[in-house]
Amino acid sequence: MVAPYLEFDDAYFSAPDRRMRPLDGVELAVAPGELLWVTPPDAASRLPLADAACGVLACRAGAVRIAGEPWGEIHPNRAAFRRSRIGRVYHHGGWISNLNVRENILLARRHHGDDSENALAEEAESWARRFLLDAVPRSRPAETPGDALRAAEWVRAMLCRPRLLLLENPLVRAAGDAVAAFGAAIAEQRRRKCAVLWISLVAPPESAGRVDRKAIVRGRRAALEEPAS
Amino acid sequence: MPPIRTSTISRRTTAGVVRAAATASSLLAMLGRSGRRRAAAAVDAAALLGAVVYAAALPSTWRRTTRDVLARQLLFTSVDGASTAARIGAAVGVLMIVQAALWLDAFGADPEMVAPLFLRLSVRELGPLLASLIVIGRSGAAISAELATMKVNEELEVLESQGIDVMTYLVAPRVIGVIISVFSLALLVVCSMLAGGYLVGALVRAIRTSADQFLADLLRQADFVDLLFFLSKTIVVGLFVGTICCTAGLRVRRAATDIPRVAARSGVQALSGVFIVSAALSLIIYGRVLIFQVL
Repeated sequence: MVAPYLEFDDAYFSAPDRRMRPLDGVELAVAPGELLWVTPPDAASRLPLADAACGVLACRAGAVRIAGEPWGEIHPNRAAFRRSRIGRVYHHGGWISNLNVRENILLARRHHGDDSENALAEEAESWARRFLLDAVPRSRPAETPGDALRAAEWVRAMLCRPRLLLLENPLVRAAGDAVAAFGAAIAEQRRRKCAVLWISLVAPPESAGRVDRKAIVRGRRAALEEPAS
Repeated sequence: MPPIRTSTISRRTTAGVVRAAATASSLLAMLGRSGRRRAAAAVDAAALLGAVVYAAALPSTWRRTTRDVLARQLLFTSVDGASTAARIGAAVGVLMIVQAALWLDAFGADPEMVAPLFLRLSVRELGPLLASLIVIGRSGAAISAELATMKVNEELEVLESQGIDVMTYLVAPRVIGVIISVFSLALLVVCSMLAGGYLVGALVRAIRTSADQFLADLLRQADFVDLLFFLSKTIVVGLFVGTICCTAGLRVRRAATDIPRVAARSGVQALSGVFIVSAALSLIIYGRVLIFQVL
């Protein structure tokens, strides 16, 4: 049995504000190459799982482990490195408003690595073309059309060469014909042993591969179901 | 009319006393809350200042993304503010030379006192002070508003979730940028004050030496203590201005309506900080407060 890359071990989460739903006794795990699908109670609900998986939201009891280490016990420099390999599509967009979309996409790789600017730009453009964008947008996020911005979020998530993908409602406002490409990109990352946490009422596209486990959030509990066929 | 009973008077007096006590208690509580709030803000600012100094000293802080932020801050504050600094410096230089001419004539003093007086006033006090005011006006409120907006929109959490430390990426380059800007704009203000003052002074015959001689007089009067004071004042004041503005922005509560209030308040707080720090540095380096020898 492969050790999980991300593990929620009887974790209890308070809601830091009224926009987030508290959860009790979360027992979930996702191993490298696996896809765990978590369905929230409704489309507007924001779960603490993605923030906790990044280590930016602490649990009030229990533990959240990444590669076997509890987030609270990881040295800040190692924690920053771990986070640099987490690709994320945010529930609320997650754009830095005083940077344009291209700068947002390249920010993490430029910050953590020493790849040349040209190489990074070419890699970003390659991902953008895969998701049916003409080019990586250079406009501000507030000025970018919704479907292009959604595809740009996918580019940002994939560009960090993720060990873990955290995808919150990743298909909202997405262009229909790009969804299959996004699924194929997820499958490709899974073959590279990337763990995937999919948080949405909408199922992952078939091109993303088999859903290994599914959990449903009801009230303050996340209950694991039988694997979807 | 029936007489007012003694018991009624007593009840009214007692009620009045209770109300007065309640008002006094509320005022004290308000003062206490205000004091605690200010103390908490001061503690936060001191902590941020220490963290910035520590982060800025680490080579690992200055990655290319952080250097980009520093470059943007310098462009916005220093480069874009240069013309304002030159204009204000020249105008103040003219004001100073006119006043110097009036007072030297009134007291029958030697016109050769103009150069040293001019230099000392501009280098010791007016140059750093005007540069600080320009930086606060141009950038202080903008920095606070920007950081406050980022906090309200949860952009700080986005940076953290990407493994990007807020202190090293957002705060340290802004504070360092403000320090460099205060220093460079203060230099510009001093130069434009001296140039503007000399031109007008020569026109009104308050200065009767050639430009070369005036410059030579200035250089002869400049001493190491003045330069030390100028350098320390611009750096320390810049550090406080940057720290105060960043702290104010990061302490915003998560409501968009707080942002303009935070921005306005940070400007006033930074202004107070500038004068307090300037007075303290004058006391330490020259042993004087205003014209009074203290140390």
